[in-house]
Amino acid sequence: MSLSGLARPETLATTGRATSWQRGEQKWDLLLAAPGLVLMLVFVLLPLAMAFGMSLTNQRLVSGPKVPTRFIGPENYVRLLTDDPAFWPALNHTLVFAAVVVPAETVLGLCLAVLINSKTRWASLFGAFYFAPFVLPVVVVAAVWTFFYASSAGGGPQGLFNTLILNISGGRLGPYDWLTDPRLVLPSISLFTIWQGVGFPMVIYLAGLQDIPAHLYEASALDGADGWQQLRFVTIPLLRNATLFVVVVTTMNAFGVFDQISIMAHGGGTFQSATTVIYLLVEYGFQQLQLGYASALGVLFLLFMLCLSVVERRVVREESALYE
Amino acid sequence: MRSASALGRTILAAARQAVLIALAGAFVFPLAFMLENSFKLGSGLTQSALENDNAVSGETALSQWGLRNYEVVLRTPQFLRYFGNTLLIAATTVAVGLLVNSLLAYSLARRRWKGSRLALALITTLMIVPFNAISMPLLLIVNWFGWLDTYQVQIVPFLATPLYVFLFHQFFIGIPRDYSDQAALDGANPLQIYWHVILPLSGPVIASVAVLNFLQAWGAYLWPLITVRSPDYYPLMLGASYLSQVGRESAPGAAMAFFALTSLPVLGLFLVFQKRFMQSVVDSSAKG
Repeated sequence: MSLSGLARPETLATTGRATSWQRGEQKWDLLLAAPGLVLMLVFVLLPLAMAFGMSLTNQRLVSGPKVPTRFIGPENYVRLLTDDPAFWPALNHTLVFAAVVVPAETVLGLCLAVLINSKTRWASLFGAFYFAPFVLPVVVVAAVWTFFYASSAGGGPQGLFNTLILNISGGRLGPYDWLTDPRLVLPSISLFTIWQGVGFPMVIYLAGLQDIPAHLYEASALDGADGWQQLRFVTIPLLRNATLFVVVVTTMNAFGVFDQISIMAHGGGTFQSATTVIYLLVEYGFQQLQLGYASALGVLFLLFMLCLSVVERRVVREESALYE
Repeated sequence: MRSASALGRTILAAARQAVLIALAGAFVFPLAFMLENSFKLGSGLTQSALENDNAVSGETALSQWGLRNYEVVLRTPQFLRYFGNTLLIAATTVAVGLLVNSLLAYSLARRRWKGSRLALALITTLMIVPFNAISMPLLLIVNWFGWLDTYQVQIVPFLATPLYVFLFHQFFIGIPRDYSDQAALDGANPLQIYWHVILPLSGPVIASVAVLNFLQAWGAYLWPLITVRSPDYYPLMLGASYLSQVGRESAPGAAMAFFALTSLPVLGLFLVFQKRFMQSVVDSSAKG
């Protein structure tokens, strides 16, 4: 592909005839679109296509003469679904994690948005406070939270949570091994995730709230609705699309969770009880270099995301059809 | 009757204010904890939060504060290296990414070429492909290129992003055509129109994409974890991850100073452009 159009743009101005003008135009189109298109082709579309192909092979990062890459059909998928002791627990952890984090973030996000949407003084300042954890790198805030979850079991001092619980209960409860006890590690990481991520649904809901016309509230007030009824019958129904978007995105994020698991569950030997689907994918692909097998996991993940977004679009379309 | 309801409203407002403040405490506490302990010298970090208030006398508490932790971190050659790496990676990704994505979006929005509609439809579909799902083939591709352990492996795959192209496209189609038509009549070529007409009108979308892209580039963790093994090319997040495992007991104050310095650029930008940050997250939701 020729990029010579860049070198001599003056040809555009000097040639008057329509045909050469159009030829010059086409060069411009190439020039403007090509960098983005090429990059997207190589780093998004190609890997996407390869993921499907690779998932049907025994591809490794470096295929040596000992294990040549060959087509093995759906073997990876069969092995993953029937013969992998780690897959179902990982899926289970991911589902439990999502089932806790998604509703919690959605409901709390709505509550925060309603709180700061009222004409309270300093409302936007409070909004900034609640949103701040969301802009910080997950790795860093997760690392800070591991200090709060510290227990003396590791030899160090008690963290904030244990100190609080010990003090409040007068020593009757705790200390707990928040990040090393197999039963506690996932709830601990969930709590952190909710704290870190709730700013996102909050700003989405806040934007949605500000789109609701004031006359609806005035009309419902004339009909005798109190604040709670207005929330229940005006606000929440009109935030349906915002809710849908929030639920889909937080679900996608919850299913893709990796950073905080990697940082927080690294401690004891129990981190298998916090292994999620993406954690498993990185484990297979990166630690064991079984790219084909890990790709099969990636494809399943992708298909799930696809279903989710198809459902979202369909519901949104139904919704807008209702109003037409 | 009226005064009773007024009183009720006042109580309600006060209660709401109290809830807002309490919540702000919960959200800011970990950040305050990080900053506070980064200035604190000596050990006993994790107990300090509760016990320092009553136990330690003013004088000794004061003498335990200082910039030593920051000095330690800034004197470590690794820290400056990682910081420089992340700065380079984030700045290049954002600057080149803005150009590449907006050029492509401009071409799709304003110029009709063979396949441009198909390209747009494809890009909108690719938006929902999660990075993790394609990370394994991508690892194979960058390995073919011989890019493991480099800067470009952390930059080039993230330059063209379907979501950002889409956001630019949505903004550009809202700009009245008269502006660019006038410029074309005056003899401007498409690149000049893009640069002198379209971009100056696109401040909001440029800011939104820049913010989203910067946050993603600054906090990138999984991909460098997979593709970078030489500390020479480590971004800050790999250093922070290492420190969170090693530094917790040995040097908690220094670890906190490291974390604080790592979040400082993001936090600083957020404090200045707070509204812009929130708006850019809302903008990114317009993709439905």
